[in-house]
Amino acid sequence: MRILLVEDTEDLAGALQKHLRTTGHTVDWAQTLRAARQFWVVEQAAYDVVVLDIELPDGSGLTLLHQIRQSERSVGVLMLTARADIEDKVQVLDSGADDYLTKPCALEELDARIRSVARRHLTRPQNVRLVGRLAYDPTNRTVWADEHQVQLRTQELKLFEALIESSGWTASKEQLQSHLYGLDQEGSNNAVEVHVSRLRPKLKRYGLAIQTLRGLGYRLIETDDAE
Amino acid sequence: MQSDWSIRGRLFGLWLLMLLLVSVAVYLTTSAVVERSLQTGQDRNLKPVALIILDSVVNSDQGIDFDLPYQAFEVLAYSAPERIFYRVTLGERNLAGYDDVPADLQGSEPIVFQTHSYRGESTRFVTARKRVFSDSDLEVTVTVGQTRASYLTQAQQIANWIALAVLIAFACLAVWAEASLRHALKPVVGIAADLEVRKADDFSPIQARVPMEISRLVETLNRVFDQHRGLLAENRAFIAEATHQIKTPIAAIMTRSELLERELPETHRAEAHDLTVRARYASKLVTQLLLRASLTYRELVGAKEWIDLMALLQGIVRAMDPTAEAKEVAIHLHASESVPSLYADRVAIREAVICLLDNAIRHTPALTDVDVEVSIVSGKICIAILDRGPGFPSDDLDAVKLASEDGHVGLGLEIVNRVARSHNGELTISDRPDGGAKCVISLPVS
Repeated sequence: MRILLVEDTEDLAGALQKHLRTTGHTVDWAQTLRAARQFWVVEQAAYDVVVLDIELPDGSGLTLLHQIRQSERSVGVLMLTARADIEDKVQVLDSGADDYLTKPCALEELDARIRSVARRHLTRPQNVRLVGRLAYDPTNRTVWADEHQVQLRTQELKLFEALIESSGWTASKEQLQSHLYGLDQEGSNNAVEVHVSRLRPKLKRYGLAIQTLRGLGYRLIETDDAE
Repeated sequence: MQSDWSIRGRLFGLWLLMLLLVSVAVYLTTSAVVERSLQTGQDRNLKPVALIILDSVVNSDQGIDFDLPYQAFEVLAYSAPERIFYRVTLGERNLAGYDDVPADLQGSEPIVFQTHSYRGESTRFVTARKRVFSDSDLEVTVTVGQTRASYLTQAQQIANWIALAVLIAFACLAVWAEASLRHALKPVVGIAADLEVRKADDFSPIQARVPMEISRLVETLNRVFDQHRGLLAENRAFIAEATHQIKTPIAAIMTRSELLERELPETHRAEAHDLTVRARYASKLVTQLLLRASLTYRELVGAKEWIDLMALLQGIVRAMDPTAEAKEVAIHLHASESVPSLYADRVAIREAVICLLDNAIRHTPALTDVDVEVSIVSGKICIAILDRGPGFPSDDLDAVKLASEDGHVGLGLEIVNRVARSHNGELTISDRPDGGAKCVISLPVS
């Protein structure tokens, strides 16, 4: 993803950039409101997410948010604030931000919120794979039901992808485990069971079920009891 | 300040004293007037009798011709059942009647009325006199007396009725005085009651309509409240600014230490992690400090409204989901029945639930669930947050609040408890029988 990071504290901005780049994003950093506006005017079509600090040395980040929402480009905006004052949060969301995060925040939470904010502004692409009543977009890694996105958590999405990839064949627990955590991460023994149980109700309403084959693994099947 | 008297008691006492004096004065005056009036009536009866007798004394060639006109006494006999006495004298010589009747023999007035105790009874006498010889000062004196028993009884009866009327009037006036005092002091009592139930930090102005006499007092009180509220708002703004100033460098430390954690060799990771945890704790404490100041301010300005609790909780669960996702924890929201609207401060309730959810997510192990259950028990809406963490060291809220942060409690529970209490509810904590913690905010259905 391409991210516009607007943050005046150099230390924090440096660390955030480093983290976001490490996780595969392209980051443009603006230290002031003026610089952020310039980035936006020139590159707005390129950004997937804007991470925007509210308090900037030359003005409020909310004015840029207003400008972004007035443009035709639909982009996810995650506000950053150190104030954490409860009225501020309401004001931020009322101003059209998709989400807010109070500083300091855990990097994992930042990643999760950036993903969540970015997904909200995607439109359903043409090139999708149909599974039951759902459509899976492998490019953006999103799942659609008609024109609406189905919100799946990262691990649930990974599991869904693994089940799709096995194309009606049984996926073993070990295969799914390695999909969820990769080879270098060690997941809990019951992680697959837990995520399967969480994913089941989300798929059921779209005519999909995860069948358990004792001793063999799991299989994605279509059912007739869609809601 | 010590107070051993009340305005109401004092005014009522003065009222009663005045009423008592007026009542006694009215009783005495009317009794005297009645007695006087009855006496005047008796005098009117006595006077013609004396004059008739006096007219019957005439001089003649032989000296004095006197024939007592008994029929004159009939007037007195008809007027009242009293004993009658008379005496007729010529100079010092007794012509007729009782010679011990106290006649005014020395006086010069033609008619004199007197009251004496005669033969053991109060008796009214009239004495009339005239000269019978043109060449002599010798006077005929007629004295007629009538006992006063029936007049005095009548006067006493009238006085008793008057006393009764005065007593009834006195009682009515006392009740009226008490009622009017109560009514007049109602605004003062209302203000006192308002101030009595106020929380120590409630500086909202007194809204009651008050009479002119105490409006200055209320204005002064409201001005003092206003100043305190201003100070509180100033304090809150200062805390907000200070929080911002403190949290920005903490954010930088925390983010960098998290990065270090990932980059450093295994042997140094624990140190970086420790730094991250401490920075997060410092940040959390600062945030909670600000939150507490904000909630106090909101309590003062009265930020309650009708809220759809389930919609609010759904929003909170959605907002907290990325935090939970980072730990592979799922949050489930359930309601056992339809939940009515709640009259509450939306922001305070939201922050209290977020605080408990945040605690639950942090303590519950990865891949477990955190449940938010809403139910109605004994007229109270209960919002229960359940996790699968280690539970609380005790179910005594005060003891848990005091636990060190490595129990990761901080000011959070105190804030939640305060929010619950400000909505006339409570926070209870307990361990789940099958493991984990349960925090319940119970709020009365408005």
